[in-house]
Amino acid sequence: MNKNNILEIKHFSVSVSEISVVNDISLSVEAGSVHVIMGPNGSGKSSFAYALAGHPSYVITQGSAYINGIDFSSLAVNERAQQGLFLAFQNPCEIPGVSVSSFLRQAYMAIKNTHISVGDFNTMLLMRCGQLGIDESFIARGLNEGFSGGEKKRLEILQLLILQPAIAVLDEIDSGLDIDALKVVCAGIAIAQKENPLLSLIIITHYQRILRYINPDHVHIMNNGLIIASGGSELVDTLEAEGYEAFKNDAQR
Amino acid sequence: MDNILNGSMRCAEIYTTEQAIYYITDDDNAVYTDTCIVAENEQRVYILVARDGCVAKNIDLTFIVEKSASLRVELLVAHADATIFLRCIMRGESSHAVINGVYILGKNHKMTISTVQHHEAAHTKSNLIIKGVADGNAQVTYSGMVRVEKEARCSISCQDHKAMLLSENARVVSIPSLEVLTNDVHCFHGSAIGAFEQEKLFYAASRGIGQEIIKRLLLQAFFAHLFKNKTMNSLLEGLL
Amino acid sequence: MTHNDKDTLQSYIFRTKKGLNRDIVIQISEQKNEPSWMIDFRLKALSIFEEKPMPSWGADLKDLDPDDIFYYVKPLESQHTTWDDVPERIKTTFEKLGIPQAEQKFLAGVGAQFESEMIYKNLKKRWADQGVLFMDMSTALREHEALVKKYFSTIIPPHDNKFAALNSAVWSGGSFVYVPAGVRIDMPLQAYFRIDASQMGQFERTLIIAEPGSFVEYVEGCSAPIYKKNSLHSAVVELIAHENAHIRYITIQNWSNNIYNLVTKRAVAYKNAHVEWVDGNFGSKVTMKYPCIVLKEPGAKGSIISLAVAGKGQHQDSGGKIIHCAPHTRSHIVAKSMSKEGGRSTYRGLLKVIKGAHNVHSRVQCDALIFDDESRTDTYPTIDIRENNGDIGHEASVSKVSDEQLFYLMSRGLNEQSARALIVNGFIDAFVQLLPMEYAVEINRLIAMEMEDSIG
Repeated sequence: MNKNNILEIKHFSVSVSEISVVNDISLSVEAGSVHVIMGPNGSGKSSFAYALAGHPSYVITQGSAYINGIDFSSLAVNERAQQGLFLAFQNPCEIPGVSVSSFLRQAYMAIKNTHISVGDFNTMLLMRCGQLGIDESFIARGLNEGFSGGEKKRLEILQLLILQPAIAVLDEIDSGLDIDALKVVCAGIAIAQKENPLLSLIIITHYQRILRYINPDHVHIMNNGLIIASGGSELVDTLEAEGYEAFKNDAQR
Repeated sequence: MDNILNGSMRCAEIYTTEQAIYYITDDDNAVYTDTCIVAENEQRVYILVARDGCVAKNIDLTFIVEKSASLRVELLVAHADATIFLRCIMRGESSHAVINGVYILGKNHKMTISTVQHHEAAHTKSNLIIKGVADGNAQVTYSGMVRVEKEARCSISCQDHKAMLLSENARVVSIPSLEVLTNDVHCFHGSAIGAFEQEKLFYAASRGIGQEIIKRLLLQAFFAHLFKNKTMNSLLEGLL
Repeated sequence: MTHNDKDTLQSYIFRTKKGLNRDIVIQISEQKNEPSWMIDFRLKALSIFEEKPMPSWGADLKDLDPDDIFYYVKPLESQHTTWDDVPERIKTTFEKLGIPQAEQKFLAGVGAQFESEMIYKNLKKRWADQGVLFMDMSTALREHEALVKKYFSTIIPPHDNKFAALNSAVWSGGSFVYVPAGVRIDMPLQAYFRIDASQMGQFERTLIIAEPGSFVEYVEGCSAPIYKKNSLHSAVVELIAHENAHIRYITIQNWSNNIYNLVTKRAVAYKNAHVEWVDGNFGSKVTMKYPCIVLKEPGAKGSIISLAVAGKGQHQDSGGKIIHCAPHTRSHIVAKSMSKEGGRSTYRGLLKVIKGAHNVHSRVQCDALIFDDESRTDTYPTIDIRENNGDIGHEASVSKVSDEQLFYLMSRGLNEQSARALIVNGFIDAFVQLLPMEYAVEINRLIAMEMEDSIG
């Protein structure tokens, strides 16, 4: 196994409610690289992300995954996070009554395995809010409580900057965002990359839009739970010209 | 079906078509008690109408929904006195029930509706919505019980009662109850009682729209999408 | 058992007999040197208590035998349980909550007063300077008879219910608070400071009068479990908020789980007045308590925020009642409950809008968290609206700690226990926010302990 690979996935298959959603995927992610996974609705992209993070409904029926050289299957959800995995959710849930700041401080302490005072943490948090153009009042609000789609995505990126993972899986971070909101999100990602050049990204998306701001090293097209094409950013050009049909037909040949 | 619509059917009728089982009455002494079983994998629709001068002394129906079956009940009480008891028991796993009701009452009408959504098995769902308007001296009492037994894991239950009081003397009492004996559930109930929103009435008036017209539009919006059955929707339209 | 303890136990038994009768009631009144109208009041209440049947609704009271109870034990003696008698679980709780040794003994009913007497003397002077009266009920009856007589039992008459009648007959201890017009008391009055030994008595009677424009926050009870041998507690609390006055009454109850805690609490809010009941129910075997607010004049506002935790063998049967008697009144009820390890929590509520009370705004929200399928939760609200021009909403939900929320928090590095604890903290937040800070800290610790126990 290549020691530069932060993530190694081999013949990974996942099912949910006994229906197979990911079939035999293999993927190697080098430290510092950007992978993009695209595909139509129902292709299994999000299922793949959820299974990586360890969602209890997603059962790994075959294959293995290694993060930092450690076999996933032995790790609980929070342990995967502590090993450096971060998942930005497509639809983050609300946790009423738990403020953004207290939640993030708990997460920070768990992942960095350290203690930090409320004052010091809030100072850091407000600095990050400033970087993302997020108003100070944000941090006292209940976690995702009453947040708009754009606000939820911004909070996911705020978490990315605070928790400083080794590999971040961004599940449709661009969906539902207008141009300005998308720019803020991408700027946040850029900051994260700059602060940690070894940060690896797996960006899951339908649309080519986000790729105007982030340069991918590898592009994969998924359909029916399989990766049906892999390559560089030239795949995106083909996608733009011919749609997913082009790849589906190729796969069938 | 024309007879139902044009009101020439004067007494209680039980009418079965491919789509549904109808019970429609404007009898001044209607009594109808029945236990209906929706067998495994079946889908059934029941339509209940009490209207125009009817005195439904006792409509008492128990529905038992078996495994993977689904039940839909649509109820309309319009300008009638009624005492109605609907009990829906989700006995089989993955059974599903939807109960939607409308009442439109005025003058001195009195109506009592009691409903029970009883979840006995796992993965069951029930959804109850009752919406109504009370005008004149009408009096409405709604009591709704949702009971989820210990075996009814992964069940979802919703119950919602919304009433609009249109006159000074109208009165609504709403008693929604929940009894839950297992933790793996989602249960929700709600009751809201109010009148036409002043802001909306004022805005329409400032644009020249008459109060009567806007009230009708607001009522149509209030009751929209409750009934799937065409007959019911025609009846409702005629009333608003 | 030491020689002293044995003496005490004997005098304890000698003083009282079990059961209730006229003689005991008269004895109680004479001990306190009460005026004759109070003796009459007590005796009339006794007849009412004897006539009324046990309630046919609510929690299960079949194990409660009114004849098997000591109705009056002279205050000092009621404290003399030995430290050895106090159950182990309670001693451990004290330690975990960080309560010092002397306090532990006091709370368990063993020691006598301690250093807070100094604090109390200073505060007493401060209040006296403002014209505020804060003392135990019997002292108030002796020193301010006319004032007490004007309001006593005007909100909760003895025939209100069987246990109000009982309390009316045998009441002892409890607080009397009078706040003159325009006075805003800047720190919470704590029942704790009322250093008379019977402050955690069985049949407390509390009366708070807030004159126009005044403000008082009153806190009673504590999160540390109170162990008592006597198993029936039946308190009565009456609040009167005159025009523009504001009363906030906070109760934290954590009685040991052999106790039947049956309480009648009611407030009347006059024009533009504001009454808040903040109620935390953590202990007891059975609690039946439905704080009530009567919004009597236009502009009055009422809110009831409660939290009930029902663990093994417990039934918390609580809720709130609000009656809108006048137009332009507002009410708000938030009732949160948690049921675990076979516990049962029940919400019983009444929201009533009488004819003529137009432009009423009311929101009721009941949320129940149920942890396992041994436990149970019920919600029984009644909404009775007789006026068309109002905006009334009620919502209730029941669920368990959601897997989605757990997954989200764990994916950010928290282990399962911390994730659950954080979610529960969020759930009770609406309640904890309203408590004075020291209480908030204690409650959070108490909940954390409860959670630890149940996860094991």
